[in-house]
Amino acid sequence: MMRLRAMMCDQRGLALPLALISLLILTTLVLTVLNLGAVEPQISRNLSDTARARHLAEAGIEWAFDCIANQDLDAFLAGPDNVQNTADDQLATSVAGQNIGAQMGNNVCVNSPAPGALPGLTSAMGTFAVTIRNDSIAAGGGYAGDQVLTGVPVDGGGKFSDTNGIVILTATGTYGTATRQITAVISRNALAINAAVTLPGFQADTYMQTVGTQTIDGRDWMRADDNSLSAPNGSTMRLGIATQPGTQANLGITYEQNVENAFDTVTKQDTVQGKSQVNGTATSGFNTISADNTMTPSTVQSFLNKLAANPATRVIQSSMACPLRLTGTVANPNTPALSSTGNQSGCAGNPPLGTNLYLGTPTDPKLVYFRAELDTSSNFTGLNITGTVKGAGILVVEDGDLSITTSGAGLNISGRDVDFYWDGIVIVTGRYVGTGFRGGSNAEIRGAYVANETISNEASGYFEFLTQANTLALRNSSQNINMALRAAYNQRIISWREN
Amino acid sequence: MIEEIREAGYLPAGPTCPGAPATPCPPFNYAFSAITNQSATGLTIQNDWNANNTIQTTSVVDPISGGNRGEQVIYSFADGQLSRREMGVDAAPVVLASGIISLAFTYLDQGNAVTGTAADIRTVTITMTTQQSTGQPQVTMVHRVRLRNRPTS
Repeated sequence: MMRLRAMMCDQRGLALPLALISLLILTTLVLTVLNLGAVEPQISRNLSDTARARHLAEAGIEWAFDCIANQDLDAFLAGPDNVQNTADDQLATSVAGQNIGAQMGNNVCVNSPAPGALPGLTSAMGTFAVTIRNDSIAAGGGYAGDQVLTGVPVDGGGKFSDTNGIVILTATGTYGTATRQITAVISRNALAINAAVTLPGFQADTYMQTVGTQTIDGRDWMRADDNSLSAPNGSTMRLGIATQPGTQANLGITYEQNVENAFDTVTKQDTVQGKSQVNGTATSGFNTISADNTMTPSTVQSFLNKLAANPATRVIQSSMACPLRLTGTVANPNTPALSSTGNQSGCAGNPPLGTNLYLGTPTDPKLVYFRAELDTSSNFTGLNITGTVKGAGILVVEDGDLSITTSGAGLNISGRDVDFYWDGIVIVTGRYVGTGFRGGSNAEIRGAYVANETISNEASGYFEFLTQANTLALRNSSQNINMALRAAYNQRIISWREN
Repeated sequence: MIEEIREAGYLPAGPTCPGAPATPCPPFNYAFSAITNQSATGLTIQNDWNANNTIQTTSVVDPISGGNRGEQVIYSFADGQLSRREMGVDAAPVVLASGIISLAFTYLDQGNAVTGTAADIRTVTITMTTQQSTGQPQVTMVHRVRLRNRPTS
């Protein structure tokens, strides 16, 4: 008994285990503190890396947006190798089982670096990659169809053929171990051009004063085709002049008949060439002046609405207090000066008078958009173009007349001496509107000319299409129409989401 | 929160221009505002995830992820706490962070002017001051978020 008590009270040998236990506890505490100190910087690092990855993904969307501008969208849908159904056009999409994404490279777009590292940086600073696909995935397999991404019916053109101007871009940014993805739907606005001269509106009043050389030609002119060619080199022929089907209410005759009445001599009729409304072959005269509902007032208005919705679009306001004029010179036809034909005290718009507007070139096309002021008297000229002027892209004059009073024929373009030359599309649209190619002018539009009157009660004597020009050439050009419609100003991001 | 504000206004159908040509566009009509119920201490984010052109208060199926999502997300700040509620998904607000000294939202239009009109909001500025614990330094963060689905025009 005494021995047991002695053993219980004996504390010898206890110090070491106690010291070890204390050391273990302290070590655990130290390790915990050290671990916390390491985790928090890692959290910050992850946050920073994720933000960088997202910025890289945004850079990818911007890169792709620029890359597809001015290009045929179909050229991207088979991937960089441009061979359908190979690995580079079978990438995964956000829709399970639908591997139709095409890798984007810089083989199609102009002056653009390849995806990967940002310019001037190494891949250690992060990379981006982009895929593109058509909005062609129909409902099925639990997926509602691409209309839930685009807001419009699924493109029936399939994987490799865009028919509605909409594609879906997915950009992936990677920085370290962080990855972020952004999906953006890109829409390019369509305008179905059906003739060298289209008068789709509710009036098609035409005045033809043949005082010089004139041609309205629905055959397909390439940009470089010389004026002296007997047959242009393009392959997509259109009508010479197209009108709306039906009867013009204020005259009681068809729109087509109204236009044809302006060509009241054989000499005038011979100035119109293009696709025959009868058999589609090349012809001249009344057979290439035809009613055709491919383009309507509503499709023109829809196109303009979407153009105006582009954040990059600048609409220049002309008013009766400040009717605007562009005056160019032979030396600088692409940068005419903005001035007013009226009392300049009424001008307080943007850009200011005196500004030289850049009207673009075929490699850098521009949207030049003038909006005028409603004038029920039909006498308001929303834009007057004078001197020597040249541009490329789309020229719009809305709710006012376009008056071309250029002169001098100081430019020789494709073998013609001209003073007003436009590569692309010229649209005059709205209420009480029309275009006058006035006496002394020498004009050419190589692309398409559209005069769209949106009201039906304009008084007689005011014309949607009037020519007194010294020389005039209105020529269909698919090359220039495509150039005008594929430019960056005509495409926009309609929806944007981070996956 | 910043990511959700950046995405606010997702609307696959896009805007409309019903008055044209009598009333030319822009400005355009969006079916709903990207940000609504905006105040200095809270906001509601709206997205049309299921592309039916309306905002629903019940959850909808996201066509991309396949998961349920709310088309309205409410952020609010009170008593030092930032809360989030995804309508149709969360039964009640969920506290995201506490210990916030102050938080203020400011709303800017396309000209970067302060606006009180929901339909005109194009940018949201968030100013938040936090403090880890009493006696620790206060940190103020300012983040300016442009709404990607409401382009300026």
